[in-house]
Amino acid sequence: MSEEAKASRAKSGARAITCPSCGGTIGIKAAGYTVSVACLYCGTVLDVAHEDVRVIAEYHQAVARLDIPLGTRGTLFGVEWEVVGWLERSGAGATWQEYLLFNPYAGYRWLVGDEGAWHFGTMLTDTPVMVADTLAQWRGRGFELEDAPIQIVTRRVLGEFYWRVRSGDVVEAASFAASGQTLSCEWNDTETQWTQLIPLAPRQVKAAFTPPGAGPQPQDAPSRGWFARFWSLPFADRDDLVPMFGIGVIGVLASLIVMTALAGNGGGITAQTMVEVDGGTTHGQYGPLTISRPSQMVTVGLAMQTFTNKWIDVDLALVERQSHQAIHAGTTIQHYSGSDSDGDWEEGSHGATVEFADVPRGTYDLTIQAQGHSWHSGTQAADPAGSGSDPLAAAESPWGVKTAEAPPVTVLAMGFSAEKGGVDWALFWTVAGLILVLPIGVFLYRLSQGRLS
Amino acid sequence: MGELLCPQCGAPVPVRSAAMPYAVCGHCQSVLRRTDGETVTRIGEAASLPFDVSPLELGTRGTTPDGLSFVVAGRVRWGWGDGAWNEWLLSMPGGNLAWLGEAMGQFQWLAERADLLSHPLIAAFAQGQPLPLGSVIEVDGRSYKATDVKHATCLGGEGDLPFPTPRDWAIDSIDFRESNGGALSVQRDPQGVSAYLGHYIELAALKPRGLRMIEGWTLPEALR
Repeated sequence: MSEEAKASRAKSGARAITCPSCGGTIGIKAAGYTVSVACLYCGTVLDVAHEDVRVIAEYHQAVARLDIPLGTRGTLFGVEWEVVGWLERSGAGATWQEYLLFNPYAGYRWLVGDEGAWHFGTMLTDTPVMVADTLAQWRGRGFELEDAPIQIVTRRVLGEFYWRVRSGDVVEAASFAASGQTLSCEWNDTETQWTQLIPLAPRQVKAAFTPPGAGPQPQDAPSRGWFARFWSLPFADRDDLVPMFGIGVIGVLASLIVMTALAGNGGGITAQTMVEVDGGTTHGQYGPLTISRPSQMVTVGLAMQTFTNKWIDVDLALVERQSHQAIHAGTTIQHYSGSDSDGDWEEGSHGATVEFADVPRGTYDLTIQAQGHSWHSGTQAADPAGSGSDPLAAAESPWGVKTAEAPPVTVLAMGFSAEKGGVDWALFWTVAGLILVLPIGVFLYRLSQGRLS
Repeated sequence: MGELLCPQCGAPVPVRSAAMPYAVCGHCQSVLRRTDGETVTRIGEAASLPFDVSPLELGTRGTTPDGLSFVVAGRVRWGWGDGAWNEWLLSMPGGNLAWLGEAMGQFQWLAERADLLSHPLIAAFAQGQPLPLGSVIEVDGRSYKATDVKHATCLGGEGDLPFPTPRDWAIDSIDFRESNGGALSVQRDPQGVSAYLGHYIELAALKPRGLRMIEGWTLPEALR
């Protein structure tokens, strides 16, 4: 390679190849690590481990449109990641997406998306040990096998990978869970790979990987022309604002009364329990809750003692005493805070409301299972593991750095109340919004026109 | 840091580890042998290293897990059928050496352990026996299992090195892993066998300074 070529490569920070199948130019982001590339234009899988580019599998297909396009960058856990590869995989009747993330200073991570649920995957270099048939031990904790092992098939591939990827690849896989964390194990004849999966809130993923100007934008006001035309209709000038609001408010009140009556009311359950963070699962059973109508709504409100950088997985079930039929629901209460280059941030809340929509007549017990998990993002002020504020050294961080001692168990109080009925507030606000949109719109328009006197 | 002049092209060749008998001229890729610290002989030419986005470069400094300072003095790059990896030579005060293996975005801290060559499996490997996947070697009470068996060739080298890096240099390389992140690397070439023991390590744990600047990327905060 000439000095000039070398210099220009070093400057651009990338190696470019030409797809022998379609002639498209593909920039290699992780030069030196990348072994195979699925062409962005035609899907042909290329071997780029050596100077000469070879075709592994030729395709001439319309390539998939990705939710997160390759090349998108986003920041998670204080590190900027570029999406360099994408796999569509399926197993046990489900299909999901796995995005390969890369940062030259931090290596590879995975972003796994399965029907709106997202996980951040870190390949483990310290591997769990099987201590029983269905129990793996990792960093001093036991992880239970979740389901029987399944076969995972890679359906489609796009982008660049540090191994020789191709669609049709098959691995065996099993996942192990403990207090909300998942360890996934994949193996074939020659290799076993463990990956730690941490749940991500969809909004975190969206905030990180939605490029500015893409995706749904905040609703803009309708354009002036349309607005002006609409409000130039004859009724717009009449002095009808007070009657419009009056009728609207009456309509809203009426719907509230009707919905409250339909919802029914009656005895509920109120209790408190304690949830361990990074400890065992809290189990509880409370009752009875009697539904005397053919079908009714049950609302469970949950309120946690204040915490931050933790998430609480709550599984709820209403179990009918005679039939033992169970209706399940779940929620995650999460709250995070920290600071980054944009300053201090905070997200999540300390409470949640869970609604069981159509609970048939019967006598029920409410069962609660809750598990608390701390998020060692490293940006929290007080790190119980004493590893300082260094995100690369946080205990069980996505960085996989070990610390000597396990953090102490925190116990949080969780209060909850289960009430029969409960107004379907989403429906109520929709109705209220629909009723009031017209008078409010008129009011705002006239305000903007200075026509209110 | 001393400096030599390349007898082939006249370019200055920095000396980052004076204990190393070999150096690769960064300008013309001549492989140089140093004798008496003064005389420099050109003994061949190394392949120029293909571009990669490794965060390390010659001259990067850091702190070892034992708290010693080190400087990256050299690098060897190996290629095999399905990829390539880097082995960075770390030079510490007092002439001590360690290696930092870099593959798939992960790092292994490794130090040579000549005493392991007497292990029956490694001794048999030195005699030409295979060391198959799944072989287990116990070292200091820990079990290391062979997870990767590769035949590799040297793709080139740079900086100061304990050996020359000819283009046709082929090795058998066996990687062992241990459940706590321990790593053992056994390599065989026609001259013999060498063994390196260590563990996986995060780049940040080495407190690196002078990492390579890669265009389009900024250093994560933890590495600044």
